[in-house]
Amino acid sequence: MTTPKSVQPAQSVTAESAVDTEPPASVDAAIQGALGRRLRESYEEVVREKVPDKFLHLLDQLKKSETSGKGG
Amino acid sequence: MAAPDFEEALVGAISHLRAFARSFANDPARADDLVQETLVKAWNSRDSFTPGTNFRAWLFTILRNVYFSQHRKLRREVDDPEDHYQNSLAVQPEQYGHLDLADFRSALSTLPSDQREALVLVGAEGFSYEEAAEICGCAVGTIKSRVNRARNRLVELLGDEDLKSGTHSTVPSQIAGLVKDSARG
Repeated sequence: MTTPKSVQPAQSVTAESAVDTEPPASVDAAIQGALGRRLRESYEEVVREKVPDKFLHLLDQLKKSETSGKGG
Repeated sequence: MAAPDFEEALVGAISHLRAFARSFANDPARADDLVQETLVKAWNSRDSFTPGTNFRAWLFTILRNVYFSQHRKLRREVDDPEDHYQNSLAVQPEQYGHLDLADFRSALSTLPSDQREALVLVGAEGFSYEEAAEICGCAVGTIKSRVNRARNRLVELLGDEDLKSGTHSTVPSQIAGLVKDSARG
């Protein structure tokens, strides 16, 4: 399984609204599209931030503690 | 899932966990604490992940559980400042036609957290309503109504004209079509 590190292509608004169980739209499509773009921009800005090393160190530690615990 | 595969998938999902965590904790340091605890929990319970199911959804469920168990503790101990931050920001963009991400974010932060979460899962992460419902442990209809209410509220706060005439407008598709046609003709 591969999970890309970068942002996945954002789901387009048309794809979302094409879902058969579309909720009653109370916001018009153009506005909804604009809203969706802002939301993704704002979110992806965080996704694109470099992942701090502390997270990778944490995973290393978890791995190590497991191997040392399993000995014998 | 074999440990190396699991680790690789986990590393790949960290950036998304961080972004999702910010929709709960506006303070980036606190959001990262949430992510750290989520990684530990995920690692320790990796046998409970069913291969072939949505890995990110599984992780997000864990993150939520971590958040809500901390949140309950916090609320017992102190007057949680986060309950205030959601409602303390009144957003009235004054410069029409100049709506930037900061404005958008403050508007987003004033939404009730359940609505913000639903909107982020569906609108930013691209989960289906069904997947979002599973992550949040609620009915699909509940997610739909939360997303709708969130959208309506944001439009109310930000103004529909501002949203449409935003700073990041792209070439309208009709114009793009014309250019293509004339190139061909």
